Amino acid sequence: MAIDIGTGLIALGAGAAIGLSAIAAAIAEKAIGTAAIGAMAEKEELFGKGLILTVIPETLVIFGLVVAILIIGMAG
Amino acid sequence: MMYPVKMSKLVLICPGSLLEKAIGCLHKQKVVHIETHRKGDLDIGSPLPDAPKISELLLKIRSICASLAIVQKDFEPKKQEIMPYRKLMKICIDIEKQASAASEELKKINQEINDVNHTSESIRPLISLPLAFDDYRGYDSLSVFTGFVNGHDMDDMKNEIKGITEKYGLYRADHHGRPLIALFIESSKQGEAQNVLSSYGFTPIIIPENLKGSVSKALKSLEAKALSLNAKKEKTEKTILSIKKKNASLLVSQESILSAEIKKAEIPLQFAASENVTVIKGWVPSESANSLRSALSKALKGRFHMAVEEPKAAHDYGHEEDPSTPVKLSNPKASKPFEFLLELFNLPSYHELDPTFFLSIIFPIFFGFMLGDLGYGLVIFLACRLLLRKFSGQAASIIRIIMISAVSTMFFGLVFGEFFGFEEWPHSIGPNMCRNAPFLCNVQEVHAHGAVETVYSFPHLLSRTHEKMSLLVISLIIGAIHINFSLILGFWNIWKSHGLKHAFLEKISWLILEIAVALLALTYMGKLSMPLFIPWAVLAISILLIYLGEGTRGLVELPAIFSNMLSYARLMAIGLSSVGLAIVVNDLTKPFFAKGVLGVISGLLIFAVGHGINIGLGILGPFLHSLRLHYVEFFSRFFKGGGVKYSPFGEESL
Repeated sequence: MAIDIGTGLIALGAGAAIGLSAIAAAIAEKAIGTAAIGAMAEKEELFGKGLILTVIPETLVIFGLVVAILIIGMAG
Repeated sequence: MMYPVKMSKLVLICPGSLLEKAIGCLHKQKVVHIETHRKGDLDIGSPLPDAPKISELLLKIRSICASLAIVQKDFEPKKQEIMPYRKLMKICIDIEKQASAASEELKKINQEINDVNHTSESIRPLISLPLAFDDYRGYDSLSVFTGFVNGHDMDDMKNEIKGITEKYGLYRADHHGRPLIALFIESSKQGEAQNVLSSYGFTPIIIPENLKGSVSKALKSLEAKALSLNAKKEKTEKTILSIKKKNASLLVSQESILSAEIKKAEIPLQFAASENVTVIKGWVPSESANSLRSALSKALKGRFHMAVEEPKAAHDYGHEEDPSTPVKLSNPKASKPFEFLLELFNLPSYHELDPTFFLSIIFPIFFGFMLGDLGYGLVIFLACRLLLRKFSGQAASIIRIIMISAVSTMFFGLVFGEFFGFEEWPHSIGPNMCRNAPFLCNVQEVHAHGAVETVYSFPHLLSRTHEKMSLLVISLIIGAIHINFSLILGFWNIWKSHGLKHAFLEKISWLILEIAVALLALTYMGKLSMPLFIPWAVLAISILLIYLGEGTRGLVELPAIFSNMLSYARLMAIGLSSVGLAIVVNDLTKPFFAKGVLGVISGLLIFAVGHGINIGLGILGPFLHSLRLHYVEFFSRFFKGGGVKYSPFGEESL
């Protein structure tokens, strides 16, 4: 199945969009998650707040996903 | 269902002399959640006089149980009467003496066994040398070197030693492939011999001082000793086991009785007390207040005072009156397992909505939407059914949650037309199926890989693999509905506690924001034709309202509502990943089935293992993500949390 280089580059672009934003979100959530679990070990009630604060960087991935889908839409 | 159980604040005053009777009555009623008193005008009460004796007994029993390794759940506690403390203490001291004597004995025997084993291991190599123990020692002019060497250059070593002196005697032997030597050399050449030997990797063997006679005889006597010691060890272990069996049920039942007694004896530490009077503050469910009053008047013959009142609601924003009102959730039986999810996160505070009911409906829907496979749902449902018999308590709640979600999975499996990843009948059966039972089969033309092929698919409403974009749109619409629902719940909560104006400014403003953005988008896309300033004006008004309602923090959160809606795209993403894995497993298995009996067996094995892993991932992933969608996106708009769990005095705490 031969595809021309334009489509291939578009696919690479979409992959990069979500891959790099996922790495960024992971780095961010790593630090927050570590602190959240440390706080939870001292005080169980902080689970809810800790969870919410940990997943705040999720929006980075979601925007990455949206961009990836838009890019793939470009490929027609 | 929508709110936690109504609680009433309780104040109970009784004279000090009746304290023990009052505590006994409260413990039996099991309805009062006691509020710990902080030392203020009134002092903290003192424990009942029996408390030190009870805790001493409890300590002794628990230490005996620990040393005998008695685990509570292995033994059914017989219904025991409360023993007088002195008698029980005597019995316990007796048991303790027996147990510790036996375990001391056991330790000694184990030590001796270790010594014997160590000695016999170390002298075992000597059996290959033709020497007795006495031959290794007692020399004035000779130094003795016994030990292992590296086996490569034995002759070179011999020559080197010959080079040091002619007066030597060298015995060589082999022990399991390792060469060992016994070298007798004149004492004056001891140092040089040491150097030569260490250059050949010499590791010495220590000859024990107390052994005499031939090596083989010594080894035999050591083995006999080891046997007798092992027999003794078995006897001692049997003694310990019999002590354990005789007393275990007594100890376990007395321990549980005494644990309850110590709680009763120490609870006055949470009361306020003056010289003659004790004040007990706490909470009781409003419906049980009257029965509590009658029970108390029977026990205390009316010599007490009990007052109940409604807990005060919040008046000012953020300034709660009775923050520590305990929360007891009450939900219909089908929603009860989901209370576990709420306990995991945060119990609702007493004054706000209990979201368990909504959670119990929407969580399985999300789970089923993400997993969406009829076969998987069936397997999970049956597995949960089997597991329910073995577990109880919190684990049972989780299993029930998964079971309910499995039913939803089966439903969505029918909607998506998936069964273990298969979406269509195989071509051999397909045409017949479609002719004879058209309701079980959809004939479709599918464009795949540039060609058009006929596919006999299962009946479905939406095919996940072929209609990805529709799936995405549906997920986002579900997200929008869910988030707007949470806004409405938040509106309700704030209306109840702070009034209509606050509620409008804080929650309805977001709805107006959504409408403004929708109008803007539609106008720019050309679907609606209206002068552009209308959507912009509505947008500006909504931003102003949000600022008035929530301040700068609200402004910062402006894009959050839309990114939260986009977050629901994970409903599609996880679903697709699950389907993808299933299709891969199926494609792996297909070639095996043509290759004879062995092929069929291995194909079935791969099928089972592959789908087993996928089911495992499929329970974990959708569970966590549905949960996260609720905790973060759903709860953040109306749920404050911070409720204290209702734990009445007298109930067994986990």
